[in-house]
Amino acid sequence: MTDDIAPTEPSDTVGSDGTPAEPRARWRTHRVAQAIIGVLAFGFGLVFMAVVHNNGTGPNLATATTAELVQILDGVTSENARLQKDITDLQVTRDQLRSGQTTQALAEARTRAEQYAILAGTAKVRGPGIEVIVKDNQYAVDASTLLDAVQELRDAGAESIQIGQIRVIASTWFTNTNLGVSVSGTHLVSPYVIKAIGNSQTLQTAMRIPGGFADSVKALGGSIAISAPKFVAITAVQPSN
Amino acid sequence: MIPLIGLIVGIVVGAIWGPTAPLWLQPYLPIAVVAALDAVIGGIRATLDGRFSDRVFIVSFLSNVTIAALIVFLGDLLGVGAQLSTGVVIVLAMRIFSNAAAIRRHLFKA
Repeated sequence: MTDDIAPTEPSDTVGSDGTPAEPRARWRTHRVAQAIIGVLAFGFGLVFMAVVHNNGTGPNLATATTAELVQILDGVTSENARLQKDITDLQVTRDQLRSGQTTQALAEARTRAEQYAILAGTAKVRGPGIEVIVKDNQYAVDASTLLDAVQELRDAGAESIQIGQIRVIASTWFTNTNLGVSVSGTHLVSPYVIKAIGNSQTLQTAMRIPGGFADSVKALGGSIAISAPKFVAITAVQPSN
Repeated sequence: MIPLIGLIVGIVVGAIWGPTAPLWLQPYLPIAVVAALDAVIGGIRATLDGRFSDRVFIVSFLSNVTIAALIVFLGDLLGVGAQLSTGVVIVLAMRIFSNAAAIRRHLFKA
């Protein structure tokens, strides 16, 4: 097992035949041996890299044994079966998507899109709610009063709000003009018609809250009429970009 | 020193040149490399033991490589090439490990 380990006697002091060698001859032998070892090491490195290089280029079918070939074939076959199963699964999924069997997801997405459209003001809305008509002949109701109304309606859970022919969305703005109010750049004059969709009971309460919108309008000399029809139609839409 | 230089030059040349062994030789090369590795580790151990011999190293290196390749060749002829290769690799690996343990004891005293 340890054939590569020399006898206990170091070889430097003993010649190849066991007798002390001449210094010159011994030195020459030593150099030759060193050269051979160098060549062997060189060959070892070269072959080592050749094998590594050979292995790096994938399975070499030409030199593989029968057993290896069978193993490779088995691997390829099972890989093939696995991929075939993947294909079948994906085809089933594709057919399902095509035939619309997954309509549930589609319906959900539509519902969500509708909700977002209502929030963004790009869809017309019909439903229970209230209609508020504010008459103001002295031009006393200003932008901040109307904004208060919108704010209170929002707090009361109004889904969508319309003032005049303007749909109120998150970015709607109010400003005062000489003869009334400008809502997002559209001039409005009395009477102001505010429509809001939501729980009509809650919305009415929000309008009539003591010190709230109704009270402020009356304090400013205007009149306010709040009605709760069965269906309020909000027809103004925000143009979708 | 010369063996180390030879080894490094061989690896560098092999890495740059990327040689491909002849086809008939390819089944025997991996096992020959493992055998050569065993001889090299044994040589290092002998050096550390202070009883390294050029002659023994050269002979053991060449005979190790030849015998390993020969065993694989014979195994292929007999139809037990894969099993015999495994056996040879196991034996060589055991020797490498025991020599490495001796080297480790020399270097780290542990």
